[in-house]
Amino acid sequence: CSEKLDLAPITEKAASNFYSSESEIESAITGAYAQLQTGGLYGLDLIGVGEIPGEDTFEEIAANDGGRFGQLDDFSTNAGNDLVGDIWRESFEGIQRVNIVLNRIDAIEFEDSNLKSIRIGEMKFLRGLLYFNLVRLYGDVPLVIEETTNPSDFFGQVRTPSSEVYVQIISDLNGAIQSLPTAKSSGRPAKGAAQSLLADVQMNMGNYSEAVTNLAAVVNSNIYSLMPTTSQIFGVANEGNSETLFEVQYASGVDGNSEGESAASQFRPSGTTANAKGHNLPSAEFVALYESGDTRKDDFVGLDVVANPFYFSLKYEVSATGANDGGSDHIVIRYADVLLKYAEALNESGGANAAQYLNMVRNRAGLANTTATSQSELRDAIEMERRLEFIGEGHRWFDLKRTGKAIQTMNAWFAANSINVTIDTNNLILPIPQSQLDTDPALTQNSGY
Amino acid sequence: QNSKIKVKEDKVLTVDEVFDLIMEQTDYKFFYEEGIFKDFPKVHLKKGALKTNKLLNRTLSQGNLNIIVTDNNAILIQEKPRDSIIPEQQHKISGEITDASGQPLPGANILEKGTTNGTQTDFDGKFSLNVSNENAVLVVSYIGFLSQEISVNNQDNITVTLQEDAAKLAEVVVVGYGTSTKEKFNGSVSKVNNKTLNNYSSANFEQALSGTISGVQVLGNSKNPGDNSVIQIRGLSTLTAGTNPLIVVDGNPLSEGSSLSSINTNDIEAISILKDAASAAIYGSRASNGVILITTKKGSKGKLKVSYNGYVGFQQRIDKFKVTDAYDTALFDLDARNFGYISGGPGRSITDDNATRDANGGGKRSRIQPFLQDYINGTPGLTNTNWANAIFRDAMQQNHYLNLSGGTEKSDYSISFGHLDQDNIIIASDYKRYTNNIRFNSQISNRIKFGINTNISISDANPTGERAWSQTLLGRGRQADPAFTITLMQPYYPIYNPDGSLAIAHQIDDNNQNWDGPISENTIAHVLLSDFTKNTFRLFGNAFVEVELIEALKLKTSFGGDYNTSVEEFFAPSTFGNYRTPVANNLTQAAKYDTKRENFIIENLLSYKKKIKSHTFDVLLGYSYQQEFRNQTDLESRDFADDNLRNVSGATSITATSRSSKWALESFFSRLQYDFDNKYTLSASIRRDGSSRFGANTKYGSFVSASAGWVLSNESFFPDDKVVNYAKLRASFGQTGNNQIGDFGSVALVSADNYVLNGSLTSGVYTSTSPNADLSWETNSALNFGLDLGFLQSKLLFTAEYYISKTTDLLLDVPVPQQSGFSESLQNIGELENKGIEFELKGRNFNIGDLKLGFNANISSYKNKILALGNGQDQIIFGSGVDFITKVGYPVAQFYNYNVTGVYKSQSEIDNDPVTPLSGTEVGDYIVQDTNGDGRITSDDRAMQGDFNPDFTYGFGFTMAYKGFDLSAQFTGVEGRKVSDNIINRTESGEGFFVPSQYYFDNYFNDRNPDGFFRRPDFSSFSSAGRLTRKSNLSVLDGDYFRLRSLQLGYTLPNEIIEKLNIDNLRLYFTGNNIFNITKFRGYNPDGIDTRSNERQSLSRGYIDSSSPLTRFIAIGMDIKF
Repeated sequence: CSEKLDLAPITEKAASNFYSSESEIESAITGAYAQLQTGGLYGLDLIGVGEIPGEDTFEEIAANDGGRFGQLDDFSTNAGNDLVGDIWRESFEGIQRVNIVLNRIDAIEFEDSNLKSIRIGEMKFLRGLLYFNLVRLYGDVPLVIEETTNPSDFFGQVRTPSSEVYVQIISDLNGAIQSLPTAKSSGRPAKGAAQSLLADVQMNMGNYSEAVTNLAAVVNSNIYSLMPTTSQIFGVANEGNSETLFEVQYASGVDGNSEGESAASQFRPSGTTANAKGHNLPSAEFVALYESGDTRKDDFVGLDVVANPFYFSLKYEVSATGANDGGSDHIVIRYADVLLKYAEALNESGGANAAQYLNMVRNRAGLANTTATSQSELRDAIEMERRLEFIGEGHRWFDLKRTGKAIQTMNAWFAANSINVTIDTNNLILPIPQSQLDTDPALTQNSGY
Repeated sequence: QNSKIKVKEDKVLTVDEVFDLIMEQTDYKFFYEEGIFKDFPKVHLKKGALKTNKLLNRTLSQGNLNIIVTDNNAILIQEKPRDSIIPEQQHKISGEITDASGQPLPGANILEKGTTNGTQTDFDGKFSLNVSNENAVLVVSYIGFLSQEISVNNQDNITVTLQEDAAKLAEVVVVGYGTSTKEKFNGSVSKVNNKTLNNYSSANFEQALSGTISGVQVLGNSKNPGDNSVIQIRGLSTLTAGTNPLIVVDGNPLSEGSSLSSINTNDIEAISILKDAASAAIYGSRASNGVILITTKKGSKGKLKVSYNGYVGFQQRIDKFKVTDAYDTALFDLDARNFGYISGGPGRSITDDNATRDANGGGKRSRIQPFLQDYINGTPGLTNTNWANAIFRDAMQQNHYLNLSGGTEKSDYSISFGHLDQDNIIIASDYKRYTNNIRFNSQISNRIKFGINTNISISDANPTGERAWSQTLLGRGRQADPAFTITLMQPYYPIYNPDGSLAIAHQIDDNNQNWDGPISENTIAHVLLSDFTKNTFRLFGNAFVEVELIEALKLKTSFGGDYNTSVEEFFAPSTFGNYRTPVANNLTQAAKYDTKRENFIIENLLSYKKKIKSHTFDVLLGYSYQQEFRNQTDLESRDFADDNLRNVSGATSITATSRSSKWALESFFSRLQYDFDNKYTLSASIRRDGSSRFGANTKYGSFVSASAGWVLSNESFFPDDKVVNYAKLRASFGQTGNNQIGDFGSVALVSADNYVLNGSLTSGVYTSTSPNADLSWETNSALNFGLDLGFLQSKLLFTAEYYISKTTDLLLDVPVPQQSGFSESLQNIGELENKGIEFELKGRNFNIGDLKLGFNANISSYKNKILALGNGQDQIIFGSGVDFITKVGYPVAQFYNYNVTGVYKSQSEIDNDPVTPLSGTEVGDYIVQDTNGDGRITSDDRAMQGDFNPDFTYGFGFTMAYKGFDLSAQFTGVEGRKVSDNIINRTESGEGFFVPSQYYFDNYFNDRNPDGFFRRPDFSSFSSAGRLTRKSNLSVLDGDYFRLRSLQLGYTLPNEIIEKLNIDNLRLYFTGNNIFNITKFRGYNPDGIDTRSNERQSLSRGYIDSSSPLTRFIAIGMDIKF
């Protein structure tokens, strides 16, 4: 009679007999991409955490949302901050989704075996991206690259030194470069995205010459190009354009408003639109940096003159379908970023032609060629160009960290603005979430927290 | 004594042999001096059947004997004193015997005291008897009631009201798959009868249990009438599985968590609660939280009886929660905005005007509303809205119940109709319920009996929102909870415009544009303009056929079912704003949730009962199969062209989701009971359960029990000192299981997470839960020791119990390291223990003249302790508003937060503190105790701060009757319990987004109150240290209380009047619940833990997320019988 007791789930699938065909693996791969949409990742937090600690954007109301973003502004982030916990959790959930696919895909027969290789490359790209974010934000993190069979097995796992995590990231990205196609298809990374990301990793490790090689390959592939004007890059109508190497895709009004993003509402000054929270607002001081004639000032930054004298990023379109349902894709890797990184890597590795790639970005914004010539002048010019180009995209803080200027820049800025905050190396990484320390005391807290 | 004795063939018996014959065939016992009948003639019996009464009369007609029928079917026979002469019978008396509610008692015995002269009442409870003289004394007795002596005093007509004796040892109690008596049952069972239940007036019977039974706590106060409470029997025995006890109605085990309000309290005849594992073990894997057995009313032999009960009354809030009025709120806002501003950056002064504050980057939360000054000046006549008064009301509640019952020799029936109409104390919310219960039993032949029992309930409710102050989301329970949102409604803004229309968006727009205060819409408008309805239909019942295969061997087959549907609809028009969403942007929203549950059970029981001399055997064999299917379809939409259709039909696009689930349980069970001479009882049972919920490797499990009892008072050595007349010792051991883990907890599930790829929605999936093929029930093994004592002819009964129960293979859904990709995992690991003692005292029939007095008291206490957790894990820290720690060696869910010892009142206090405070500590922040003494405050300084388990709970009450008047009262209390309450924490945080509680306002540190012990308010730049100390010992509150739980005063009209009215009985009464409540708790209700889903909340037991005010209820009512 025990068949009566062997009931299968009715509206959910059982993992034991899932992941057994090409289409099921494809769904799992889509599920891995879907994780990038979450609020802890590119839906909101990763953008904020990549920018608010820097000097260009700020939190309108420090106390809002439990100080989630406000604490980033004055480096008072504590281990109980929800953002700290959400980025950690959602990153590892995404890594697990990737690990499941990579663990299972070998046994699955694909109609087109080349496609299988491409999918493996995509998953390695995602895992590389997620771990790269984690090491940049938290320092050492536990490294997990297998499918979990028993979550309790992880008790006692200590943090893996970030150097080892970097080894895995580079290995994943090299794997991705080998199997990804040259041509880009919407929403999926192609070889150029993996090369760009690897170059970013290498630049973070100070390895500029290898970065140059990878970035040169992207530039010379002639797959990507800058859009003719800065008004054509963002906006729902321009999605998937030639400047986009990898984006997290969103759409409003789809599937019960579950596919939208939150930055469009929450990165607006309070009171201006539904659920506007005033997170990550560009400062007036920053906006003043745009030279006259720079088309990015009007194309990238808006000013709310009705209720508050606050600027906000125009890179996310407010949706008609309500709060937290914006339709704008979040572009993770953009060709302008590739060009400026190429310029930076060339400049740092003593190569020539750095100014050429910097000028491509400047010219597109309606500006003349740079006047900088020396390595240090170019370094400053590239840095400034990156600030102006990527406002609201979550790059500034990572740039400051990569170039080693974070402590110096921020302490100078705090002093200049009479803000009683001083940061040190401890502030360069976030605390480990308190909930994780509470769960497993084998994890140790970062110093200074 | 009217059961018939069968005589199989003509025979001649001695008197002693006649008694043996009667004892064999009935429950009667005879006590007499040996040899008393040696001179009596033998009795000649013919083949056939005759009434016990007649047989006794014939057998004993020769003697000069006193025959006394005692309460527990024992018949005492003594020789009369030599000189007594039977006088001539010369006075005729007639009358009626009824129970306390006026119901006639057919077959009651009436005996003239000191004689054998007696009779019985007829079907209508009437009798007539010739007695020796007009001063004779009648002894009236009836099984299950206390005997009474009545002086005839020259009357011709007497009505005797017998008091039901719930405490009576021979009283029948329903136990698993059968009945027993307290004398024979060795486990721990508590019985509550209809009368006790109906002293408390509620849609839900479980509320009526509170305080009446030792070891049983009734927790939770729901937002809506008809919502379930949490019934906790003998402490928490699980960590993350469900905590619902199993509820069995007339043999039908209900789904866990199914609505209890579909059972009309008036329909309940009695409730038995099986508290120890041995008694519950027969229910196996569903019983570890205890078992509640409900018996509904059945008809009794006699003509049609019609009874009506009804009451009408009102409820009012009696909690202590209070927020500040506009004048105090203005002072608070000024402080919160000023301190937030000056602590947010250098060079700021509270004298800065708004323009300067803006220029300094203070933001909207630093601005001072210009209207505050008028309030601070105390200008009279300013808008000062009391939102609480507008949301809460004195709410009407009425209940009507009509029962028709009766029966013949062969069958009985009972049909009832009930209607409850209860307004919520929150405006625009109410609950209407219609119930119908039909029970019919018939002896269709000598060997075959059948019965059918159905229960229909229909409810029609306008619920109030259950939670969520962030009203941007759509979905079940997402309607604003007005009891909570009043803390977001600033008293500066009006409810209505001068023209009487609802004031829309005054606060939301003003705050949205200018101040960034609570950006919430007029909560009254929300409630009044949106629709929220819930309609349910439920039909459950069963039918059985019982065949007596051979003598004493019975086969009972039953089929039961439970069909339940509910439809919830929610609609919010575009005419008001939502949280952070001003009117202009607002969207119409609608949702519909359709839920269906179908459950059926098939059960076969084979029972055999045999008495051989002093040995009684009772054997049970059973098989049952139960299956449940559930489906829920959710429709939601935000796409509406206009507000004309107020439901999802008006939407232009709808999102639909459908979920189904199923479980099945197959069980075999057996029980053997043995009783020797009413002195020794032994019982053992085994149940084998197979459940679809468990892993492939562990589908089946066995649960055993054994118990023994010894009635010392039936031993010859027991002193007959008349003080202690009854004594019993009992012990039991049993095992039960808990399978409340969700239907597919053992299977790793793949859930959907879609993605827009290249502009089109693409199906995506991920593994949402981790697999565990070894997942199984948790096992609760418990020892129970009991002592029962009866004093003064059992007028006073005392019971003491000690138990020790251990749960092993704890189902733990605990936090796991998130690098696993999962945040929690369900595993069978860990052990916990509950040890407890319980005492109950019941007194009945203490009569002083016409004053009849009864009383009860109980007290219980338990200690809960974690013995082991997962591999290498010795603690689980769990955050839910406040933090909790569940640690080996300690009770489950200790509050675990910083201990605050004061407030830093100056920068020098911070600078000079030998202990390094939390980083970012500012003036006005809390001083935290350095509990580990390492000189700096870190998360390791969090300390255990008590838990929700009380030190003890108690209840006591009394009943009094004097002539036509009756009075009963029940008190209940809890000592040593800690709770934390979301609404208190929010309104005492000083964070400025909430209107403060009066208590916080009166006690926060500021210039007016330099000794204040609460932190300084800060609206815009709440410090990091302030965030971390948001959870502290100040959030852990004393949850003790003492209540007059129920009070009832009744008056039964005298016979002369009711006879004229041509009715049998008429009683008028006044009744009340929670007449007074003594507590230090500042929130709505210290019992108000979450009742909607109590699974997985054990780790944060004691956190009140969302509750509703405690209410007092006062009503007048009437009982009529025809």
